[in-house]
Amino acid sequence: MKTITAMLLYSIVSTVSADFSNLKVYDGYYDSYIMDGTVTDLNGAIHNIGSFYEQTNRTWNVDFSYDWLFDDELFRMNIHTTNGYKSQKLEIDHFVELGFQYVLGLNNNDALMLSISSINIGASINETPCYDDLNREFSCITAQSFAEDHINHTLNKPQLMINYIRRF
Amino acid sequence: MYISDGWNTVQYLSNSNVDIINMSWGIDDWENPDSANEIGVTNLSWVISQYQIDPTILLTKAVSNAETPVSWDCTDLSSCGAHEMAMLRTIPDQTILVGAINADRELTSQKAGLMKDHYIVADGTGVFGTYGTSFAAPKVAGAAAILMHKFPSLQRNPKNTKEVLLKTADDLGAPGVDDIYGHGELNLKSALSPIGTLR
Repeated sequence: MKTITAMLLYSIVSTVSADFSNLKVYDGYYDSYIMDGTVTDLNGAIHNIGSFYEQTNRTWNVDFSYDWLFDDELFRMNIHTTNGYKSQKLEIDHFVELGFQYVLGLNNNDALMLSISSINIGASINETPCYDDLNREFSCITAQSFAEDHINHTLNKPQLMINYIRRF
Repeated sequence: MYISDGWNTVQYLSNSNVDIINMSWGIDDWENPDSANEIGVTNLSWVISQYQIDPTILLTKAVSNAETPVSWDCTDLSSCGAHEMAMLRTIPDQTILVGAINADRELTSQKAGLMKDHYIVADGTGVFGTYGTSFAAPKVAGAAAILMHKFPSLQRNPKNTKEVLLKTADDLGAPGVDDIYGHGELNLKSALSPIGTLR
């Protein structure tokens, strides 16, 4: 990661080829993002929870990528940001995701694409409990004890991908 | 050992910040109504008040393994003495009365009778071939402990904990709450599931 950062800094101050055209802004709704439908509890009873996850906000997204060549190698930095998702029982906070790609040419026909990405800002996920007739708190998603089983964490798992590319 | 020793122990536990106290004990002298009254069989409210038992503690109380002269299980006004009637009406909200059933789900203890609104049954199988309400009552106490752990709103809330256990019991005998099985058999899986519609 330090190496990639160093490369990026170098490229910014050097005269490298850059492409700023990859900026895309779009909005819309999450497509049936979470649960829509029912959940079955331990006792076999079915509960309708679909309405709890209908999105109540309008989502906007910004994707931006920046390409540069360094020593004849192609690098790309991707930035994705969104204002998140809101519903009655679940919220995903806004977040910024940063990623880098590097294409390593093996020969004229073969290459490896290395990608790493992580969410650096935001992305906390918070679930709001459902209640039964005795005001006990349940996770709406599992119909089990909310105290033991609910979503409350931050999406921040760095991902590393290696793709092999071959030209035929 | 005297009956008062038992209640002193309950009082000690009450002052020790516990959530549930199981009482798998009774008296042999069922021929003596005063003795029965002292243990709090017919007058739990009075004894709980006398020993200043914390009202936020859930009490699970084993009923007798046999029919007794004390008319807990009288089912109509004519067969109940005025004393028993008055006392049975004052079973405190913090108390669950527990009877026992065998593997065939037959009642092997005192039936619910006028206790039915506070009465539940559980498997009475014990260890080393032992059997009775003394082994059924702690199963209800254990179920209550699991509920309180999984649903913190039930901690120090014996009334609601009791309501969950009673409402989610498997109906046995005549439909609904009846004079034999009361609310029916303890069902922990149902107790862990939502009651009514999730909202």
